[in-house]
Amino acid sequence: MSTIVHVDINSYFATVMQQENPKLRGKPVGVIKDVGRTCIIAASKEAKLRGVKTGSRLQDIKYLVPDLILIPAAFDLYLDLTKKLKKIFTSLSPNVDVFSLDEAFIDISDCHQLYPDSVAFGKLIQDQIKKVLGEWVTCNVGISYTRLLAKLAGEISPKGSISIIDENNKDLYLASAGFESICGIGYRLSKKLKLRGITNAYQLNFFEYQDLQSLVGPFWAKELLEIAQGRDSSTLRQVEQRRDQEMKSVGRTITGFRLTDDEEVIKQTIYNLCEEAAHKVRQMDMAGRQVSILLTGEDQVWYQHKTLKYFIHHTDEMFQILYEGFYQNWQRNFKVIKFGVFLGQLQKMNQVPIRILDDWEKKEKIYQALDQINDRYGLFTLRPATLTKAKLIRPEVTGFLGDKRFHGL
Amino acid sequence: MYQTIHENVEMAGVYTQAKFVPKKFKWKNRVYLVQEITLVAEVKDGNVKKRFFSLLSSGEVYRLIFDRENEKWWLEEKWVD
Repeated sequence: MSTIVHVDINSYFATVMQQENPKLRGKPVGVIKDVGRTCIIAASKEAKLRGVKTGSRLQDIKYLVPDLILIPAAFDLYLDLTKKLKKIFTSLSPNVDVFSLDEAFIDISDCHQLYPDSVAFGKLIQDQIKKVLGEWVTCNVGISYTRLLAKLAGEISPKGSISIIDENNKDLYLASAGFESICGIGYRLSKKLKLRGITNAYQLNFFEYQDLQSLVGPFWAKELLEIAQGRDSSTLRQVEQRRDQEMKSVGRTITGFRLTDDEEVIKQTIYNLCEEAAHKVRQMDMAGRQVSILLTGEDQVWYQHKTLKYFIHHTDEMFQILYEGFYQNWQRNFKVIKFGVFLGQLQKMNQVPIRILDDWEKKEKIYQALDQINDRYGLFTLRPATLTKAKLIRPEVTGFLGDKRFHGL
Repeated sequence: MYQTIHENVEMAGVYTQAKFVPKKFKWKNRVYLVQEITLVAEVKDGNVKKRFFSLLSSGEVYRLIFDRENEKWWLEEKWVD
């Protein structure tokens, strides 16, 4: 039987800030994306105990926690520390999957002789993390025979604990956890199930496939019956499948500080995001042929996409399609706060048909030279006229770590 | 919150186990003894590698960066209550 260990750093973003700065330890800390932002993206244990959650708005919690200390996130630090975490894990087992910036699955099924005692292994992990990242950094360790159960074990256990789910206590855990603790079941599905009186995964064992199918459709009916038995959801089955897969798409989104009607700002932002996304694709020696753009207002959304007959990875080409092709042909009727660009259906350059009928080769040489300079001295060292006077949006790492392959994780 | 400083400093330390451990730095003619190194991270801007240190000195927290490209130390920020 497999032994899967799930490691989840407690309140990662905030804990790292507290490890760095002893004056913040033991205090309610709320991490915001940047100075001036008003949404909490992570809260320390102390802040969580007082009701601060990820996604809390400052205006809603300032009266609840008036002594909340706000700190801008330090994504560069988190990424490097996650790389250090991975190094710890891979020194203990060859089968490691970094699931997000602060979570990883470690499969020690083939290491029973090295680690006969799973709890001792969990303690070893916790000690190593403290040694490398700092004394203030704690983690939950969940151990079981599937990823779903290992993650669940850590999710609903006290902070800093080591918990095991086996065949004997599996049903108890599945019965006592809400769907928000089950990886693979989202808010909408959970709401639908609750309307039918189903509030935990264990209850699903008392339903037939046909009953669930009429409620949630054939895919989810099958999924839910798997989850009811503690088996991995499709999200978690893909963890191992994706281990050696190349990235399929690259995207970059940004939420502005305020709604904007300024055409110059909109143009600059779209170009900035195209440069970051296209640069990333070029760095991976890939090209894509599905381009998309997303703009969001207060409660309006505009989205366009196109699948090309050829592959692209030059910024100006991507910008031309998205801005000149889509945006300029749209009668914008709302102010924009969120921007997103995406380049998908990525393939390695050696698998992409060569373009010989246009000036692609010439442009490729220019971009190679540009990328050499920007890689050496930093992105946007050389930048187009469009961005000369713009406030640059620099690359950042997301907690979800959708581009973990790009970062070597 | 962290107050931006971004000034060059002089750093003294020891090399031990293939790592440089800061021991004291000089900023504006004053010497700051390092009580504790609370965090170390490697950050990159393009291919420019920098080593980030968070240091505690006399109870105050300082963020320093060692630019590995031009081998200069920068006092980037200081925590202000």
